[in-house]
Amino acid sequence: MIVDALAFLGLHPLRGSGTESPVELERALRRAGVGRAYVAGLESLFRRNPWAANELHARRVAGSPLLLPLAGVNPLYAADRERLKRLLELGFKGLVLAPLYHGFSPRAAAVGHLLRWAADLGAPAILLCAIEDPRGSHRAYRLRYRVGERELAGFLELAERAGVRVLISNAEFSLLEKLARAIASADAMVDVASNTVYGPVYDRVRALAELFSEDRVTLSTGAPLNYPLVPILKVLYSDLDERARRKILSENALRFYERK
Amino acid sequence: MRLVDAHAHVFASDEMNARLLKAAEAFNVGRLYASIYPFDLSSLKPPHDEVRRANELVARLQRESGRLVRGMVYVNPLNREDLRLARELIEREGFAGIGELYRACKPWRAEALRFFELAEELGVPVLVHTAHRLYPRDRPGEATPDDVARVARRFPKVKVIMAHITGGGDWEYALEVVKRYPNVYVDVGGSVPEAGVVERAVELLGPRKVLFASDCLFAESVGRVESAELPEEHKRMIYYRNAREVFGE
Repeated sequence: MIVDALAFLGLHPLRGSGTESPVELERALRRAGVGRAYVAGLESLFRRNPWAANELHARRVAGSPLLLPLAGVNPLYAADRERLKRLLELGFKGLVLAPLYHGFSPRAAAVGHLLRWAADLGAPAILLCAIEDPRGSHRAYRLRYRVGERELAGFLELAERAGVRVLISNAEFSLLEKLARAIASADAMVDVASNTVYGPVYDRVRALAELFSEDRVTLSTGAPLNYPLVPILKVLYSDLDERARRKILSENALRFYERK
Repeated sequence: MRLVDAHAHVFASDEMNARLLKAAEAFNVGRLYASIYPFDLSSLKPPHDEVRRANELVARLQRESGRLVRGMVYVNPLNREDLRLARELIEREGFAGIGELYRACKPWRAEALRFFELAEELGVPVLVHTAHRLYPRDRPGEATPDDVARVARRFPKVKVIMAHITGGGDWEYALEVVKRYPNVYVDVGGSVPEAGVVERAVELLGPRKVLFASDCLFAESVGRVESAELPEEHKRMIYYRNAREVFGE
């Protein structure tokens, strides 16, 4: 069973793709062979108030045989431990931090507090570096809070201090390469979602497995904003053995989210 | 039926070429229309001798690969001698077209227009590197969709391939700009997995105008076409039929 560590549900406010229908998303993922997907609601990343958007998202995916909810959280918007606890009680499997869309620095003290609460509650955290190619950004909404080297290094330091499980999602390959030591030190997971994690001929999936070990690389499709088969084929056609591919396509995401 | 890749590159390194051919085999690609990888050249405006040597490398791979590779002539339009070279390679070595016209100058400059005239005379297509970016803005010498439209309008008999509509940027704008030119084709090479592009290209341009291409990223390109919500017949057109028509095979 292929497991998708990060997909989305909802409509991107500035782009044409996406769906609000869990059934449509399930169909697209099933066509690509995905049997389970951890899904964040796009509303929780783009609305000012993520908490209300998360409640909508929980209702939307309740009863889905394939989709498991992730909550978008904004450490600067009335975040506290009790609120995170409530999200987990609602069935959310992890907390997505999206500095680019919520407008905060991943090195901020508030991020450190949030990561400590997450660790305390046993919830994994996902740092979403981007969900789109910056070359296509809307001119009127230039995204200022990019996750560069300094920001990611600061975030990893906070994560390591908090002892929280983290997934660095959609980070550019060159950034992952530069910060390989800090990522390993924070015991963080990385995914193959960025378009800069090229498939064959370049085979950067294999390069990631060599940098971080095959136990710390996972699949994220970014569906339905992205074509789900693209990252899956990158893994399937990488020059890794069957066992390593299985870990990346399935086992690592399950371990990341379901470990207590 | 094997796939036809309308936009690929040959590398200066034998090891990379071995990887290219291995990946093509793995993805069931039976034909690669390929020019030299531009970043293996010394600059965006390489001198004529370097351009000649680079094309000779492509010609060698064309011969050695059992014609899995078909050459596309890389030129620096700012070199006067490259025009004669392009003619030689197409007429004597059987190269299939001109391009990828890279970032030496805009395609509508007089120096570049000579290559469109040659393409018209010889009945071969021209592949134009195109940036669909909104931010940061386009780089000097790099073609935008508007530039592609400008040359397509001027040479209505030349088949112009607008490169990597799926290579990043505002593909919606690019499609809107070129949809009125029946001689413009788009290729689906490049790295960006954004959903909906292939379907929208088919909707706006028609299924005959969309070409499968890897730009040496096979998983990305096959994954896009396979994921696209299109009838199988349209996918077959994209995967190989359209390219046969464009390249006259």
